[in-house]
Amino acid sequence: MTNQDQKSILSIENLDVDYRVDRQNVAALRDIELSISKGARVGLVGESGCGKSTLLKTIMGVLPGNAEIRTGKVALNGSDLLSMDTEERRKTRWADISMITQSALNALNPVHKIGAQIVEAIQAHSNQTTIQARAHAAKLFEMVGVPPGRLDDYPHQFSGGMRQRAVIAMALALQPEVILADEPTTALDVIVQDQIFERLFELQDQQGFALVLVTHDLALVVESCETMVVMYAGVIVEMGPTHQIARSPQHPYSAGLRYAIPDPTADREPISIPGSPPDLSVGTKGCRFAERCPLAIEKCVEQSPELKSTNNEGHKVRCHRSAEMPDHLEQFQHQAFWRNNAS
Amino acid sequence: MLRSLSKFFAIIWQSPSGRVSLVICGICVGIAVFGPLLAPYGPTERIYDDAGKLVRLSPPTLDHWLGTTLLGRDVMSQMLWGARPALIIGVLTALGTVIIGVNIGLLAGYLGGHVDNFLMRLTDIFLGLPFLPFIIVLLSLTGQNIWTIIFAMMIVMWRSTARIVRAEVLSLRERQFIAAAKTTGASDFDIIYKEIAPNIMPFALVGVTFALAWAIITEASIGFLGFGDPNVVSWGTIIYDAYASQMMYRAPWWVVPPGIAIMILVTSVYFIGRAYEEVVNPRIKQAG
Amino acid sequence: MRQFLIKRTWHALLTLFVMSTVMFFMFRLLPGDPTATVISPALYPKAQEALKAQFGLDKPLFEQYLIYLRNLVLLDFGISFHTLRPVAGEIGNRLINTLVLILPSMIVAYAIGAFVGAMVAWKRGSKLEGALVLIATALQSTPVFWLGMLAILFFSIRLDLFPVGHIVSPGMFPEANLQMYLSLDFLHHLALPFMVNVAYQFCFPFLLMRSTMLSTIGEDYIELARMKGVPEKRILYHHAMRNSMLPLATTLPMILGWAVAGSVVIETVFSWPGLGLLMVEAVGRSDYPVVQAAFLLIAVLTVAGTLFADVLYGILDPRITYQ
Ligand SMILES: Nc1ncnc2c1ncn2[C@@H]1O[C@H](COP(=O)(O)OP(=O)(O)OP(=O)(O)O)[C@@H](O)[C@H]1O
Ligand SMILES: [Mg+2]
Repeated sequence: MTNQDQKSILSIENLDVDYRVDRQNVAALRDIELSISKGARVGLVGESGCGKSTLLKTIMGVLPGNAEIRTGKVALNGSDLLSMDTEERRKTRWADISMITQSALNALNPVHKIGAQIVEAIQAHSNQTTIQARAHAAKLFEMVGVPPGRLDDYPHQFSGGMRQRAVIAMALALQPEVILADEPTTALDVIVQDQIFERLFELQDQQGFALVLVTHDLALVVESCETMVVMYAGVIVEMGPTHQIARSPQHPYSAGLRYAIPDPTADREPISIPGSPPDLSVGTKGCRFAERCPLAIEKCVEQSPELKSTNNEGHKVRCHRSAEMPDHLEQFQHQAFWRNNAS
Repeated sequence: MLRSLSKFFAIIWQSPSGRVSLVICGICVGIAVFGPLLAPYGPTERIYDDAGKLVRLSPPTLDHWLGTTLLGRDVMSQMLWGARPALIIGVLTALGTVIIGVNIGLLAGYLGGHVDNFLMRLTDIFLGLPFLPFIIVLLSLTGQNIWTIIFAMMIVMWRSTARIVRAEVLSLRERQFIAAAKTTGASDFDIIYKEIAPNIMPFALVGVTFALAWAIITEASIGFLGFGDPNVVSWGTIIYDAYASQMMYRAPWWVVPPGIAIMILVTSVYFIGRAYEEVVNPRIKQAG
Repeated sequence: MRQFLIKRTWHALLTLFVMSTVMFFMFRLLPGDPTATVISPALYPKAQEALKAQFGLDKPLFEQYLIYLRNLVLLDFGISFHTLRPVAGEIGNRLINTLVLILPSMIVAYAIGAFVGAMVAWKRGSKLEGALVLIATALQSTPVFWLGMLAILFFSIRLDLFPVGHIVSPGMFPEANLQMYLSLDFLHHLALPFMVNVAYQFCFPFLLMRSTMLSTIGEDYIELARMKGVPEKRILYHHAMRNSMLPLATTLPMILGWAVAGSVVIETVFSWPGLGLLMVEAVGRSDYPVVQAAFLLIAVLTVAGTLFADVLYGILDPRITYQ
């Protein structure tokens, strides 16, 4: 075992997940390999529909009824979550891994008081009395910056930002080792977004949980996550230290995402990747990005690439032509290159 | 209008229960249209045997598949004749109900303010109105024929359609295309009937099916309570005759068929409504 | 909350006022002459006048209306054309009879319907679910009087388990009193109409609860509860069922209204001496003071049901603000 494996808290191996839609299977996740170290902050990015939420739901064990985990292992502290029985699984939820969901408004039950919903989470895993649990909830509210006096409010009485804070407080309730955050601030204005992330990162520094942050805001990831994972159409195409990927992406799709953010220091227009994500029906071959990729060659269409380590420590990429990427980086920054070469 | 109708049937045809229901309704319509031609006897014709004796309360035989009534009438023939009034009354009531309900809902939702207040108060009053008792009182005063029955049912039934439509108009009113129509100077009338109304069509069609189901049952209830049109034999009045004769418990063949016919017809109407509703708008709930 | 209550009560009263007004004018302005049966046109005009005066029919319409309103407030419903006794005295028992039949069966039907509907939705896709949906829809599509007749045919005539109708055996209780309502004989008579009404009223809450539950189960807060590690039972009761009750509460007034109004039919089949049967009989005899009184009482029950459901909804859904 290497040093890195020992620090790993959550590790996913060889995970395939399908959705059944009208008797057809959609390959939502393929061959996911991922290891999250204790206390790490990992940014997970990728276009809408690439399977980020599906991955988090698989980890939490709340996939919808039409989803099927075909193969794979999701291990938390070495024990496989997928092979646990229902009661064991229930106990690990929230206590070990919690989640901050995409939409705080819909995630809170409108007919119960917010405080009661936090108390419920606490009491599902401990014998605390309601009074103790409430005192704890009040502390959590203070931590996230909501006056504890508002524990007895209903969700509709909170502003969007406060709701999101309440959901964060809930996620912290049992001091889990991993928190998954699925676009925790969409639908909030930018200033509130910044405040919330600032608070979330502060709390992470204090408490030391690992944070997996799903977001469309690549700039935020570059700024604040040490590791990043890039997903495309259900597979991980590149992952590794953020600064490396940001400086020199080895996958054309990562490069596309990277140069899609405006850079005030460089004198160039942000690009946008032409085309749209592929059909995820089971049974397609080749690299899933091939049809939008300016570097695609015959081989890319024929044969799916493996996720390979690069020369850099902890950096992996899934591309037949990754070795040539450094030579093309300059070209990738121009929209014309994308448009002319996409097959 | 025609397009929404053909789309309506296409949508229902997609679901298996909808398909079965459509076939059943088709058969009922067929009976309503051709039943009187197929019926071996008239609905009130008294049947005598060879000896000249009235064939009273005969159990089902080869001659009388569903037996005869106390007055020597052929139940099978009555059933075949009775589909027509049940369907005519049901369909006309359903259409009238929905036309009134949709218009009130449109006006209240679109115009808002005092008009809305007034119309909704009115709807509330009608919602508080006891349904059958009111119809009975009304019928006892206006006299009983097909038209007064339809009228009486329409007066009470528009209320739920109005509510559903109003709620939908309120949300439509804020949409962009309405605002766009307003800025081009379209009149309120045009906006209501050209822009909003087409979007209400699905609700209206669901409303029609549920109103139809409800109207068929109500018509039967009215008949059973003795307030049906005395000159018309419908499925409801067959049950009433059996009940009033006090012979029904001796002659199940007399009471069972009309009840089953109503049950099958109304069940399939409900399933049609639901099959459509599920596709068009999973949100709205059935209401009477 | 108090303001909300006051406002709703005011609306309810307004509704009743409008209804009683409509009733009054309907009887006097519509073509049929309800007094014709009592005051035979064959009588001498003098005698007719005298009779009319006795019922207050000789005064101008508007004055009659005012008297009518005053009497309503005083719960004076006038004199029955048929028995020539005060209507108020006859109607009290009828009201109780209707309530003892309708209320308990509604409550039971609602409880069972909501619970079973929630359960089959929770375990969705079972064979039982499909069968129950079909049965409930078919029952809902069945005229309830016919259901009652079949029940009598089968349980009373064939199996001889229950009496064929009426509220107690003839002659057992000359006076309706508490003792009567507590007697076994009464319960024996109640059983069949009660069961038929439960079977019929079960359908709507069942179907509605099932479809609401099916959409509630997909809500994010159910997923969050599951992620929180809340036990499944608690998710079912505390989140899914609790939230799915809201639409059921909104439709409650309508259902109560139907149930009370539907009593007309079920009471007729079972010869159950409630308000509904009284009304049907009175209409048949053109006894319009009784018709009016019975109708208005039924309307009061319906409107009270609406009011109750509104308040219940306000309690169940904290998002409702009482303006
Ligand atoms: N319940 C479902 N049934 C069928 N297909 C689904 C279901 N949920 C998601 N999918 C499909 O699986 C794929 C991945 O969806 P997922 O929600 O995981 O994407 P995502 O990366 O979270 O997107 P976003 O950024 O928009 O949240 C998409 O193609 C989506 O259409
Ligand atoms: Mg997502």
